[in-house]
Amino acid sequence: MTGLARAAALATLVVGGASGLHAQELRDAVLRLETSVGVYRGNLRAVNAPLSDSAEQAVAVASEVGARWTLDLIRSDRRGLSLFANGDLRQISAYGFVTRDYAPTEWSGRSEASYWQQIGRSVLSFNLGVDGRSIWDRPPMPLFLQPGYLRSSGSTQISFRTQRDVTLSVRLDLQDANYGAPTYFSQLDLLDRREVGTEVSLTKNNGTTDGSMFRLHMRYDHSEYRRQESFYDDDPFRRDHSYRGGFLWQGNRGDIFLRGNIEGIANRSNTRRPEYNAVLIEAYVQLPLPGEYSLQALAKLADKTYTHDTGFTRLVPGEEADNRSEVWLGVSRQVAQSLDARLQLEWARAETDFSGDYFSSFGISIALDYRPPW
Amino acid sequence: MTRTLPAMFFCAALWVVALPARGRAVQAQQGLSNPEILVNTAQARYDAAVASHVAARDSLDAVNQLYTRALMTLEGSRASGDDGRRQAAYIAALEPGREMSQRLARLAEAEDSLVRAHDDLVQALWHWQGAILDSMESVEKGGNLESYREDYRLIEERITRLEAVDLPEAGRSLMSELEVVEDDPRDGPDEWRYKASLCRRLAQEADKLLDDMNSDLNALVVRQRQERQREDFLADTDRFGRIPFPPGVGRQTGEPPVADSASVAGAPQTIEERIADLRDQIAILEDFRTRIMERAEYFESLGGDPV
Repeated sequence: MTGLARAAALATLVVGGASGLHAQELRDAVLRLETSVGVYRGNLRAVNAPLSDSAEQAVAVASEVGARWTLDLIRSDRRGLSLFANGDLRQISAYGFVTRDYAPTEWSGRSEASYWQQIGRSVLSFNLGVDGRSIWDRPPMPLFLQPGYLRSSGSTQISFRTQRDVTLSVRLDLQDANYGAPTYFSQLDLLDRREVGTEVSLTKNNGTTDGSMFRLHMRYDHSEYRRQESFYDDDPFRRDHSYRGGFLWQGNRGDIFLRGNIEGIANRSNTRRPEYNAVLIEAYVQLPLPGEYSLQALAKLADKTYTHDTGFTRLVPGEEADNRSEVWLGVSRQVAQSLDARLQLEWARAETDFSGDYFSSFGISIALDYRPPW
Repeated sequence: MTRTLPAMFFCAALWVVALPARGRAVQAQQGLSNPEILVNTAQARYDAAVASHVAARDSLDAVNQLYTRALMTLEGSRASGDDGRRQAAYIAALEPGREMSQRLARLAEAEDSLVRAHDDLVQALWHWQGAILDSMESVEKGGNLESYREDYRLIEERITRLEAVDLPEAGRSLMSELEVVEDDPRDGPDEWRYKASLCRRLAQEADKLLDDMNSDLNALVVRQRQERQREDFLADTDRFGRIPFPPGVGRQTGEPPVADSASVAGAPQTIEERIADLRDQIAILEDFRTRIMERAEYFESLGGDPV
């Protein structure tokens, strides 16, 4: 039997193929087309938009196109250099406002270069990235669309494999965000900031077969808002210190993929207004349905409590994501070679600039994702 | 005159440059015309090629033992019914498989070099024999030809020995390494029957492995589709530069590969690469199965009825 085994092993294993160096490989290229309808409710006070309208509800019909790809310039067992880029363009027709209809155009893009090098049992990596967005004909509330900005970021991380499948990582991040406010809406410049952060994480992978992972992390961020005053002469600009801790688990249970993420945040500042404690919970599930359909659901829930009462605007103008809850539900199916279609619903509830005021949105969309067979 | 001077300088420069080169060419021609030097050079190349071939084969034999152990482990794990153990053994067997592939490629190169060096040496010896015959013709009548005859005979013996060398077939498939059942002129019906049976059992083993590999391939394709749909869905929830949830500077950039993979090496093999690898291996194994069945039918046609 040994001879048979040897021969079969040779036949089975003789082709190794792509274990060594891969160079100049384009992967994960995706073209996306999407159309959607959304309803936005809640005409609340907001200083994040240059215009106001008394409408209580607005409807937005949108068509969008997007692409993303990764280019591996170097890919081997010991080091890698890759470039990632994506870009999205969306044209919206917004109705229901009292003064006039709006036709906002949004585009956004992100590019990133990543290099990593294995050193013994450790991996050292560097990331440099730039991203930004722009918007024309930005509408008033209740249709909230983020203002444009340009961000640059960099990070470095060292990861040590401590024992079997367990990795300890230490990471340092830098970021600079510039909102480039127009002259008629100078308050957007209040969002300009520089941040530095560091994170320690412990990751346990249970193997590539089931993809399960457990991750524990602790993080500290220091943010400087050089255009926001603290009203203290000896410390005139807003400086925040953010402490985070949380864990993530993901894995398969049979054909079902699950992911859960919980994180606690304590934000402290040299000005009392933005000091808060928050809990963020994320849950995701993907399960196969008959007929090669796949159901996916994602919930992101936030609960924030401010530590001090104040009559000032709470949130930084233009930001809503740090107290936004949302639920996504999607059904996907492969409809042709390299082409997936998806029908999805989105619900969101977010806080405006003024603490305790919320607006909501509900949308339905159809998306096509195409992967060119390169 | 203005045109003549540059032309003269050009010709002079060409002569200065070309003279040493011409000298070297003449020297080389003289060297090549000496058949003994040509043979010695070819012999040195042949000896080096033989040494390289032996080293490549030894290297292949070494990893061959790893193969055998890997497959025995794989068979044992399949017999145990523990799917996790089988999967681990399967993955563990892939790495020596890739090493085997590389060493087989090196062996093929060494074989090609050996065949070329062998042919060059035989040609050089023939050339030397021709030179000896020319020299013998130039010897005057009554002259001593014995030393020429002796040289000619020694060269003939060297050529005979070289032609008796069992050289690898040039350009043969790597699959020929797997042809474990060879013809033997001493074989009779019993041996043919045994070899036919051996080939059929080998084909059955290949069928089992093909079933496993096709099952793994189908699972990988389904998983690839699910992963892509997951990527698309999650990418859709975080586009147009929306400040990510939860916000924070560290959320803007991706994790390095080691944090998201259980791979021992830094770069985890992507699911696309795993699918491509598996498809290649299935194609090779199907080819192997076809060949081994042809061998079974061949031995059966000689009189080795199926057992």
